[in-house]
Amino acid sequence: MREQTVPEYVNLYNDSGKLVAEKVPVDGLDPARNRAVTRMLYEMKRTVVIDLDKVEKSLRTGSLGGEYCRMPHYAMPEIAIVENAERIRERVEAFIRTSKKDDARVALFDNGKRLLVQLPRSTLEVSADYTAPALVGGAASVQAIVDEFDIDPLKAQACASAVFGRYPSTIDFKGGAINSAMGVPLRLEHLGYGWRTVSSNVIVSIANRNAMKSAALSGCFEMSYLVNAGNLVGRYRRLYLLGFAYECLNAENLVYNTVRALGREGTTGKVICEIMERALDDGVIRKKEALPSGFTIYEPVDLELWNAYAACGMLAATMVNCGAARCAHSVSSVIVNYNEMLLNESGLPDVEFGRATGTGLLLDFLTHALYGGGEVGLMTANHPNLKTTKLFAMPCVCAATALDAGTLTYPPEKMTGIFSQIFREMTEFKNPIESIAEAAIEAGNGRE
Amino acid sequence: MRDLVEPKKKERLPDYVKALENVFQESNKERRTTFYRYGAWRQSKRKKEFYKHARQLEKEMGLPRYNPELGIPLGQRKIAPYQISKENVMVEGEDMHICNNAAIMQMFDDVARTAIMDLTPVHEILQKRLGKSVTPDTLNRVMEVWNHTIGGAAAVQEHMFEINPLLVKDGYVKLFCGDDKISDLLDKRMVVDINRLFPADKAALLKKDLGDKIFALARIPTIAVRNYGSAMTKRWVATTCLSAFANVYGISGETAINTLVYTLRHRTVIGIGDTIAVRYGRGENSPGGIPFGYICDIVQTDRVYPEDPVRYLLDVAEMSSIMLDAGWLQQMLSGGLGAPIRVLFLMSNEVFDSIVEHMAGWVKERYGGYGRAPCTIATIEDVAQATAKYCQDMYDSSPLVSEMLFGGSLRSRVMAYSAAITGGLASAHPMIGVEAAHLTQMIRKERTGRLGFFAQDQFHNQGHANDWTLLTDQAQVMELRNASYPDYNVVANLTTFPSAIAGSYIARGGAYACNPVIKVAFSENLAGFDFGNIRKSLVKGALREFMPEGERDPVIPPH
Repeated sequence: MREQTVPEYVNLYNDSGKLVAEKVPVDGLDPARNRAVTRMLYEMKRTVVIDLDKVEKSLRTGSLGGEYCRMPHYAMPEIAIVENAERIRERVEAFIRTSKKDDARVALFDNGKRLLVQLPRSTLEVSADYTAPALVGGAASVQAIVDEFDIDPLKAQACASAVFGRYPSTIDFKGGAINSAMGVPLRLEHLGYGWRTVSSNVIVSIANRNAMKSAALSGCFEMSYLVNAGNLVGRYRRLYLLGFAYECLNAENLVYNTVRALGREGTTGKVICEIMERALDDGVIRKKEALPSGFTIYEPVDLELWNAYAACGMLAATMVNCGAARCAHSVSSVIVNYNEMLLNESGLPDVEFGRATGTGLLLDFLTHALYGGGEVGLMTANHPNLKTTKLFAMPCVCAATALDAGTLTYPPEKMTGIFSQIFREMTEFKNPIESIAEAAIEAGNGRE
Repeated sequence: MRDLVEPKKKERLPDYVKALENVFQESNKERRTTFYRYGAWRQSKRKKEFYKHARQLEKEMGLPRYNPELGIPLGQRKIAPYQISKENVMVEGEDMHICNNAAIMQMFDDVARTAIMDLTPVHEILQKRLGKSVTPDTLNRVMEVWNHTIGGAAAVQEHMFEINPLLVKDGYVKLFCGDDKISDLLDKRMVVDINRLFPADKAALLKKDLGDKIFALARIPTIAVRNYGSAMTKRWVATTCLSAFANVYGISGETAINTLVYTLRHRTVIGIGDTIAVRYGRGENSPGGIPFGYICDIVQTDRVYPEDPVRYLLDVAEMSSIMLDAGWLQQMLSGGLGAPIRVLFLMSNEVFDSIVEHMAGWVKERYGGYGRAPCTIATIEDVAQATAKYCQDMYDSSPLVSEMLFGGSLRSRVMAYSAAITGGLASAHPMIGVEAAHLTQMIRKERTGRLGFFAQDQFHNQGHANDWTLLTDQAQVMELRNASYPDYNVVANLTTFPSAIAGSYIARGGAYACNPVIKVAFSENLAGFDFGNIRKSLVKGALREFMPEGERDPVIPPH
């Protein structure tokens, strides 16, 4: 049997349009082969934030479980968790460490109001799913608080309710103080969807509102979902690897150049023209037929590569439009108009062969109508709509969120800002394209 | 243990003995029963009626129908009717089967169709994002439109096909607020008047805790939950609410409206039952997801009869048994098991009433009042032993009580309910009640060798460990646990826990057990079940005097 490979190379450029790596093996971009991506996933997967300030307020009043529940017989009006946060932190660290030299990290943020818990690798290796950080971090916090304040057994469970909210009476941490970048497994749309639960707001927070980095990170999570779901094998492998390289990692500077060229005066139509010209020049598409009316029909020479080019155009059109308005809400319209125009004006397949258009249409409806859905920043790919486009739509949603200058009611800073602090110093999150490129070359060398 | 089996001498014939002698037509002193001489199923008027209907159906359908001759040979014991405690009404068991009792069905429907909306964030979005002015006048107008749309009527789109208002007449929306100044500005027709509905002291506490937030109480039409299931309630409420806002404030087709919907659906709407694990096959607002503390707040007897706290405790026990045992465990999880005894055993023949009344008096005598016992292991033991002794004495001294509470499980459970209430009343902490309930079962098991069926033993053997735990899949305050809680999912004795919460709430005083919003939301029910008079409503259902909502009569042939 032949080994599953995509024997191709791309040049990757960063968010400033500078070349960061030449001849990057496309196969090395597979999250399962790329240590930069796996490091990001590892850090995300082992991380949880406990809102100590919220725990303290809940316990002081007996307001447990959210939704206006109030049980004063559990109240501990004098409890000073934030004031003693460092002592709590020490206790939690002692609980979660598996050895003195493990990589566990327990740190305080926001003047002791929030507690970061990152589990050590050895604990992660034991876990069957990705809920261990929330449960271990939560349990350690509960026991640390109970021990630190010598809490009566009759009130100890109030500490659990303050941290875990309604869990285990319900399937998530409703009303609790646990913040995780990932949603709970029991709310997954399908199997293998864990990485699709990371919201646009989380990604944009980590990327510090950089649109191209947001798209890159979004692509990492989508690609990792594809690995989990068995969708990065066989005939789909090249489609998504190339899509990731071009749309999310700015291969051949296609996204950057297009935005740079059209950012000031551009329109969605002009973006399409730009992408098509580039594809013609590169031999990715060709003229198929000129109709008597003069209308020219094109066809792809290389279907998967054309899809990657088209996806670059979709992201570029998003950045041009949402960037001009500094408003995220139009991303759905951009996705729809870009793909429909592309299809109708060229005869070429649109992004992911109709999936992106469909997603754009429903996203338009769900973000603009009274049937609900949610704001752009709250969107995840674990959604009845966005799940139907694999990989290609979420980077646009994330880029749009990053470019929004204050029109969202639930913006990243308000909802998930803590994640920008947590991962601020991590190279892979700071410079995803460079890190992934370097790791892909390493992976390629290893194979050779 | 000897003193447990000695019958207690009483000067006066207890009410429960009188009632049981009435229903069994035998003396409590009789030691040789004639129970076994009855005419099988034909002794039941209701079963004979069912038999007759079924023969007619067989002729019409050509299929075998109901036939008690095929079942176990009924008639080995007397099929006794039940005298509803304090109501002096006799009913047959069949009349308290959920499907035979319109009031019980309405009780389930009324919980399933209720959701509450905190309108404050919505008003903020309207003002900040859309620049709209929110005033009492606009809110009154919203409420007028919302009471139109709650019945599935259109307010923002044309060519919508609407629902016959007679089908959905029980759907309605009202507002409530803790600030009287705000409430005074609103249209009185659409305000839940906390001051009128609650005693002054309770009203003051509720208003303080609600603050100046404006809540909307929404009851969607019964026919909607009957057709589409309880998980849809929050969606129906959010969508119909949004239609009203869109209509009044003139908003449509823009991102802000979506933010409004998202806020309404996912951030401000409060359901009654939480989401539970997939394996139970039920969505939100199902009985399996209702926090035990909410059951105590749904029951309104403490508001209607504040001078009679025992009555409230009895009603919480009754509602728990109906919702969580007869409904959730027997029907929704097991599927089709007829167990009307789970409805009847706590409110019949004065048995449970007598025990709870006695134990409430015992608490006062023993500790000098409610909520005065220390929260200690000693109190748990004290309460458990006293309750177990009282109940066991009753079972041992009265064959009629044992016959009514047939099988070990009912006798065990009455004991557990009683201890849960007593422990809560004594200590003002639900944990003491729950622990006392478990301990009574261990005492009883020590005496009888087992409790009822295996799951009952399982539940109580694990009970102490599960109660005090900090394990992540078990640690939770009692008020927020529910019938789908780990280790609670299979056994009817979980239904005793709300009683411990209710007992502790009565001992603490105050206006609600767990959630002020839920308390106010069930203080008024314009059309449906009366949560302030539970027993009376159930009796009306048994006597076929209760008129339910959600019937299809307006759109079907006259019948």
